[in-house]
Amino acid sequence: MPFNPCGRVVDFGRRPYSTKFRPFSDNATEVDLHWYPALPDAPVLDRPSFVSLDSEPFPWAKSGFGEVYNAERPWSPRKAVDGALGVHVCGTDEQFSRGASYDPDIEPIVYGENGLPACCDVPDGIQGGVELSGSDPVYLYGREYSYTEAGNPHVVLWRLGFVDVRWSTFNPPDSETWGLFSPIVEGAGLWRLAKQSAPTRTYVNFAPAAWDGRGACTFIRTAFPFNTITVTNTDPPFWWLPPGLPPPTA
Amino acid sequence: MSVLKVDLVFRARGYGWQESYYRNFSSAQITAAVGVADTLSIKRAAMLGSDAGIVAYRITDPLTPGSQGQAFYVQGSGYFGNATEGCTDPNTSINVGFLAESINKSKRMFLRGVWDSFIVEFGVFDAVNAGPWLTTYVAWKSYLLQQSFGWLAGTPRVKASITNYTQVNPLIPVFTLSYNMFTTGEVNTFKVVRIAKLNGKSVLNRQLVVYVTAQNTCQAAAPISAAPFSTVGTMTTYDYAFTAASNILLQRAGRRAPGRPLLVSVGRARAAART
Repeated sequence: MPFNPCGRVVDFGRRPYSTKFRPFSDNATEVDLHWYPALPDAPVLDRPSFVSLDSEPFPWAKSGFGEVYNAERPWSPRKAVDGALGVHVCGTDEQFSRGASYDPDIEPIVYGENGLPACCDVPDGIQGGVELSGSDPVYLYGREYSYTEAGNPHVVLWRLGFVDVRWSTFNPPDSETWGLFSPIVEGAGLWRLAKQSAPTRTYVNFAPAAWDGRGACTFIRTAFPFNTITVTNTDPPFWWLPPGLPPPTA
Repeated sequence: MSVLKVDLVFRARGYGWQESYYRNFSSAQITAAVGVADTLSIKRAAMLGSDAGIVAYRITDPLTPGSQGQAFYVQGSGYFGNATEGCTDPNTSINVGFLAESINKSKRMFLRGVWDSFIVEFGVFDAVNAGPWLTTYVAWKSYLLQQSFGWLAGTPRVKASITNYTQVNPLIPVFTLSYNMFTTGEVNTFKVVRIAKLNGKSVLNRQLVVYVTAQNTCQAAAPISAAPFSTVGTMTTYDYAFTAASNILLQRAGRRAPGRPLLVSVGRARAAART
């Protein structure tokens, strides 16, 4: 299927289910469609799209592009996909609202273990325990947080709202006074920790950080020279956001 | 003109519900309905108690095949009800009647999230405390009438005799009609029909969704176990069209159990409760 919301909210419903779906405007080919819960911070798709027939009063009147009326609609045990926040949405507005054009020669879409196509840019295998220990040096560099790690570098996704960052009022490492770093907690969006080769002037330690299994850090203790960060600064350069995301609200 | 449906998604403590509103728009563009849906949400939320709110809405084109819809969160964290008035009883509802100009047609809607102070007993309003709530009700009603909201009503179109039916696969009734009642464009589509007088008494005598296989034959969309054909009956097709409300009447309070909150499956919750 050439279009995918990549975790964005397409519709509101009471249950995840799977059913048959016609994705093409010019061909009656049917594929399997799986409705699964979106992550709590996932944005809405923000464009006209196919919707669930669960909420339609005359589902029998629907034909062509969209869910297939009278097809089986069993409960689906699928859960929210880790890291699927729709940072990138695959497909065009036309494909979402009226269906894609059928092209038998197009390369088959490759889906990852998380059920999403590669174009969504949601990495597989993000689940599980990840702990940023105090021994990992972390650097604040311009508009993004970065950290160095032993072994193969990988990208870590944080969902804001689950990030509990506390800041020290004293220089590390002997600080025991912690305060809430509210601009991060209240924001909405996505933080990306990317491997950064060149350390910069600001030195931050990420002490033990729990992972909630959904690609979100639930607790992070930090220690850094207080005077190097303006706590009230909610605008760039302190924020780093992937392309397409609105800036967080303070 | 295109009829668009606006579903408001409500959430209260431990329960939730949706309300559907229909209106004609000059185009089927969903963006044309967004401003209306926002205003409607604000006016409807004013009628709620502090325990309830509108968290999202959905706009769809219910009748156009292959048409699209769109879901929206409402601004911020939602439109919430009156700050001081509660709405603690989930079963309390107000029955509101939408009347068409001809008075031949009407549509009922059950409004939930009514202020506790407004209901003395079920079916009885509290006249002393009614004023503030009625003010919000009148604002909501006036907006619906001003914007020509209404509902989709089915109108009988044509009728034919069912001269026979057989059952295949093995319980799908296949009906044979007395003439080509369906148009050529309706062949290979689903239609809603009403069956009457077939076999005298029969489980088939009711509204039914059928798949039209030819202009004079159709089959039920789902299996139905029925006795063999014995007596001729009738089949009537319906067309659904928008009917604008000319008046909205506050009728009475009553008890009506609500659904589960959004994203909570009724069936799964009941299954879990048995363990």
